[in-house]
Amino acid sequence: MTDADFRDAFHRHKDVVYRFAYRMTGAEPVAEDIVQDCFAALWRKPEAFDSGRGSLRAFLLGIARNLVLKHWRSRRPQEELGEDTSICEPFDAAALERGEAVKKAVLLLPPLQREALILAEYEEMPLEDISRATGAELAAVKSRLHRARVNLRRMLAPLMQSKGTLNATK
Amino acid sequence: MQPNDDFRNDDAQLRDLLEDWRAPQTPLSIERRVLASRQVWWRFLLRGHIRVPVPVACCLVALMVFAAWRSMRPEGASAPCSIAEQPMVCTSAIPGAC
Repeated sequence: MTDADFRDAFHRHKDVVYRFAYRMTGAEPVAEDIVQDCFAALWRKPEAFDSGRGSLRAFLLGIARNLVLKHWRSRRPQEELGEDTSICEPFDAAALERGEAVKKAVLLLPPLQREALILAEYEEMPLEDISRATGAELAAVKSRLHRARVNLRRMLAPLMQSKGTLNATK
Repeated sequence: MQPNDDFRNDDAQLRDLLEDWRAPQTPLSIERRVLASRQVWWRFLLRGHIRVPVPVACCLVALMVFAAWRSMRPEGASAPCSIAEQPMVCTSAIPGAC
């Protein structure tokens, strides 16, 4: 990879990697570190990217995802990172500003559900690309996404109901 | 309204809500950090880390302790005792006494 190729890749994909890392961790300094480590990995081993297996965007998000999970494990060494089917309990979302409530709800999701939701809803990635970036079966991605939406609807119910009422009165 | 429409409506509502959480702009400092970090390969010497297996680490510590002990020990402390031959010095004032 030449210097120009690297700079081009960086300028095209830095925002998506940063947004993903930020939404996964909720912390700007951690997201910055992850972006740096992600592109450092690309620079050190560009041959790891195979264009036949997916886009560079999906490849970089895959690296960022691994770094996020590494960060998560370092903070919770006792917790297993598995398919979490637990139901997130609702909180007083109406007491928070809407953006803050959504942030809190997304960060309360189990990590595997959160990454599926962020990639699908915020980055509008096709399910096949999410499957490739996360190294999970397509069925698992669909299941995680479904559970994430169920959990979010549950947690953000007060905000959705108020919005529904607002729409109904129009 | 079909049940499916309810589900879609609900999803649209959820999507609307999700848009209320905006990620901050990517800081400009990231570019400097990323482009700088890949150029100075020797930075590894300052900030890098390697994983060392515990048995190897224990052996290294033991070797270092032994080396430190050896270097701090006074010279000849463990050498076998020997009677050094002293040169004869004559202290008598009488000529030819020695």
